[in-house]
Formats: sequence, structure tokens, C-alpha cells
Amino acid sequence: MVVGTQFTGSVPAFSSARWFTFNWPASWHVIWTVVSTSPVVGAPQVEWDVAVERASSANITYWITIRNVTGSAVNIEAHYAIVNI
Amino acid sequence: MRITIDTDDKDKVNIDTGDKGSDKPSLFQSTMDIPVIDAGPAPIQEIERRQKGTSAAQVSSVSANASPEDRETQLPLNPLRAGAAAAYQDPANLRKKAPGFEATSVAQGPSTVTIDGGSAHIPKDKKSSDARTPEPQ
Repeated sequence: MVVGTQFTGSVPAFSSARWFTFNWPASWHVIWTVVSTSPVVGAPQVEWDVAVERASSANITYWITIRNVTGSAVNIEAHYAIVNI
Repeated sequence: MRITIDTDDKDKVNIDTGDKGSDKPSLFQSTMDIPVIDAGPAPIQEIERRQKGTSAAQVSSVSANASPEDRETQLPLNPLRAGAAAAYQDPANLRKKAPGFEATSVAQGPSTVTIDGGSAHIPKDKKSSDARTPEPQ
């Protein structure tokens, strides 16, 4: 398995942002996770979902939508895990 | 856009132009309003370079032609996986509430409760590493 951080950013309070990342080989099994890098105790801060675009027979574009469910801006990191290499 | 005009029994006219977005599908609206950011391409070259550093023994230890069951048996025994499998064989462990469930439950809505899932199991010899660079696991 190979893991890494694809992008970092900030999501304003009670809003969402969407990132896309492209040219991922279709043969790779990629899992996306998002973590907050803005410590706040007591409640969840971010949610995310992943949408998939088959850009070509060989490549995939992932669309990662991140929602900040708090009243303050949250800095985030988006991590990938390629589980089959 | 849908415009709704209502008249109540006192002849007061209420006009709803849908400006609040009530006539739009919420998914469509939220998708259109969300800013889109280019996060770049897959780091293929860096990952391939890292992969070349992985020993051939690790990469080829499982036959690509084997059936899923055979491949499963060829995989090195993962102690965590083995522990989980053993745990699930005991019916007493299924649907078990986490310790302190009553104390940590927080009412968040009609169908959501918060449950203490326990802390991460971090190996003692595990050192923190910079996740910005892909690393073979």
C-alpha cells in the first residue's frame, strides 16, 4: 500500500469545497480520507464524499467534496491510500 | 423557477418567488455553489520511483494468477486481521456496545448517537512520519 497527501486547503465555516485530481490509473484502488489539521475538541469538523469520473479507459478523475460542519474555518489534508500496489 | 401565489382567508396575498431556493433540488444547488479546486494529477512518477525501491520479494510474494482464496492463504498473516477474525467468531463480541456507552452517548438527533470507539492502536515502535511523501507500507 502506498499512502500520501494529495492536497491541503481550508474550508470556510458551514460551507463546502470541491477538489478534483486527475490521471489516476484505473488499475489503482484508491481510498480517500480527509483530516482536519485545526484542532478543536468535542465535535466532528469535516465530512467528505468522493465522486468518480472515468476520464478515459486508463485514467480516473476523483472529485472530493469536503464539508465544514463547524462555525469556524477548518484546514484540511486529503490523503490517498493506494491499496493494491 | 416556480412562483406560488397564495391568498389567505383575510384576502392577504403571499407571493413565493422561490428565491430561497425551495424549488430547486438541494443537490443541484449545492453542487453549483461549491467552488472547485484543481488538486493536480496523480503523483505517478513519484509512486513508481518509490515502488522500484520496494524489494521484488515483497511485490511478487503473491501469485497474480491465484484465485482470491489462494491469494488470501498466501498472504502473510496479519496479526490485527487474525485478531479481528478470532473476535468475530465469538458471538459474544458481535454488536457489543463500547465500554462507557451510556456515559458518552450524546443526543444529536432522532437517530444519531455518539459512541466511544476507543483510541487508535499505535505500535510502540511506530514513529511519526511526514505523510506528504508517499511511502510504501
